[in-house]
Amino acid sequence: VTVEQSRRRILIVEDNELNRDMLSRRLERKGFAVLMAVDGRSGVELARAQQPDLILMDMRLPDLDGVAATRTLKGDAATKDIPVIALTAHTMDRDRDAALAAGCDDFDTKPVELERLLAKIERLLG
Amino acid sequence: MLPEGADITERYRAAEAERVRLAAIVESSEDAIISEDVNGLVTSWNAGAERLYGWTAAEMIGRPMTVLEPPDRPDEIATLNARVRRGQSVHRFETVRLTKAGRRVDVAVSISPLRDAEGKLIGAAKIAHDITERKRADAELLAAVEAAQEASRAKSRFLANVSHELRTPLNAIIGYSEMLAEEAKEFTGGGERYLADLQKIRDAGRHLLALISDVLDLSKIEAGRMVLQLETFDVAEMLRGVAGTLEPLAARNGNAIEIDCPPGLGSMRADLTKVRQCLFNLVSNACKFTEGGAVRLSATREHSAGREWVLFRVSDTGIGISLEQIERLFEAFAQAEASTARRFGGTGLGLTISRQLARMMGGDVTVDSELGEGSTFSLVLPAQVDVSGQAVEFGGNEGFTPVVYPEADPAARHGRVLVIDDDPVASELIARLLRGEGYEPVQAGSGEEGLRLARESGTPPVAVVLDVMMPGMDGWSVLSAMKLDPQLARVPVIVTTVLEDQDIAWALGAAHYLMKPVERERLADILRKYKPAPAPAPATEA
Repeated sequence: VTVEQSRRRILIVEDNELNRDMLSRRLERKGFAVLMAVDGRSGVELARAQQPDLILMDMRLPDLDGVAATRTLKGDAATKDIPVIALTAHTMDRDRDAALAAGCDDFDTKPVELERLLAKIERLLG
Repeated sequence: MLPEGADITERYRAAEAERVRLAAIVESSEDAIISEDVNGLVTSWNAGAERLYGWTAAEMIGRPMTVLEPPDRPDEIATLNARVRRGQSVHRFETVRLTKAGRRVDVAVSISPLRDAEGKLIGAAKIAHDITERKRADAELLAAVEAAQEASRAKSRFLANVSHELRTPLNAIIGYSEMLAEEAKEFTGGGERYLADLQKIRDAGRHLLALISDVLDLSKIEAGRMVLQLETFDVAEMLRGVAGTLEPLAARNGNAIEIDCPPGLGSMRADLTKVRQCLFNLVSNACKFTEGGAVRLSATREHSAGREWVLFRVSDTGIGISLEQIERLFEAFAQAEASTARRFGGTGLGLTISRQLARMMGGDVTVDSELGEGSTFSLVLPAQVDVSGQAVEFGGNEGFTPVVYPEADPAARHGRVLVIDDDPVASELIARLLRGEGYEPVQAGSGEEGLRLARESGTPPVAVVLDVMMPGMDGWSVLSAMKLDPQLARVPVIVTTVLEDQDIAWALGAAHYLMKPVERERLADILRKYKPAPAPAPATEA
């Protein structure tokens, strides 16, 4: 087992390029391997193919939104056990409720506070 | 008055002089003054009537007035005359008449029965006043109010959109500055040189983000789109949570937060997030304006105005506020001193928002302060916030400003009320009044349309506000038809009219009777009787 393979892998599903760039760089610096998808549909495909350890899912996504993507993942035996953390815009309570209803394991608000998000990631990865 | 036994010629002369004097008064009137006999034929027609309607006295005397009736108001004059023959008078009935040239003119008509010395009905006196100008002013005012409201809604929508658009790039600014700061910390080759500047970028970004959130909150409140989510929570626990979160902020200025909550505070029902937001604002203000002192956060339960309240007080030992400053304190963007904003940070909107949120929940935020003596801000809230309930004032001798809530909670929808009135201005005024009271008005411009809307719209309306005088199917016919329809028979009907027809209204089964113009308070009182049980507040934010 190489070091590369032992690193825990996080899939970021996020359409905003800057958010994707920041989050991936910050997580990589914390020692995670990061996969990225820019919309819900490719996020679901990547999750099936790559089996990441955890998914950070933006709720507002083109094509297939975060709620629908999460529901698809949680309804599929191959992906249902991958923990999903929903990322929602600051004041969107409605998104948060929808995310939890769709089966997300936790949620965090954007802008991301890295320490808080890391704590949530660690808790879900055990 | 002439002495007994005065000469008959003298009496005649005196009577004649009086007649001439009265005729001169009638002729000098700006208003149309017209008399009719019992058959509705014109017996006198003054200069005012000539000016208003274009017909001369010679043309009108001996003829019925129906020539003035516009085709869309058939039988209106006959209906009015029938009332007068029953001995009833009509006060300022607003309608439309046709001039000789065929031009429509808005008039207010008052009609009184004329009786002879024995009290026998001999005809009617009609006074018509030209209200074209007033009608135009009404319509302009209504249009102006609507334009202003629409502009305000547009502004709120714009702010909401812009706020969202501003947030996205701002998140990138904050995020990258944080990221660079993290890297600078780890990069030992002189990275720390940049750390302070990167933190300034991040702090400025966060300040801007807070400002945008506040502006968005305020625009939501103003647009009536802020929704309350009520839950029951433990007061003491909530207070400790607030104090805990603000501990680091207090420490920055060397302040200590002291909590004072007596045992047995129990729980309250309110919007937890918004109560917290209010207290955060008050406590963080206190921390900002106090150095090396104490910020005291207390809560008590109070009885006032037959209700139970929870009273939160935030006291500091800070710089205090002068009386003049207090007056401007709750205005948006008005920090007591312009320079204090730069000195102490903050958006200047916290107090405005806190007060608005408190008022939405039926409470208020008030202040008691003296320059140099520290300040005490009080947040008072009903122990059981009830969005549908009537506002009750928290009174007493604590120096609280009485709280009055002109707008009912916009989120509380009490149901549909059908307004049937052919006059669009009157209809719109009633509709606005209903909206203000938390009802959804549905407007119908005729009796036929009203009846159709009442029948077709699935569940019947909560109540019907019904005008009597309408062309075509009048209010009485609508009322009778409703009472015969098993679906609608139980819907309370509030009859509005300019005529004194109470007996007919009761006989036909009207629930209430209001004289036009309708007074807001009267209508609101009546509707309150029919208010359905409060619906749960919607669980989403707009």
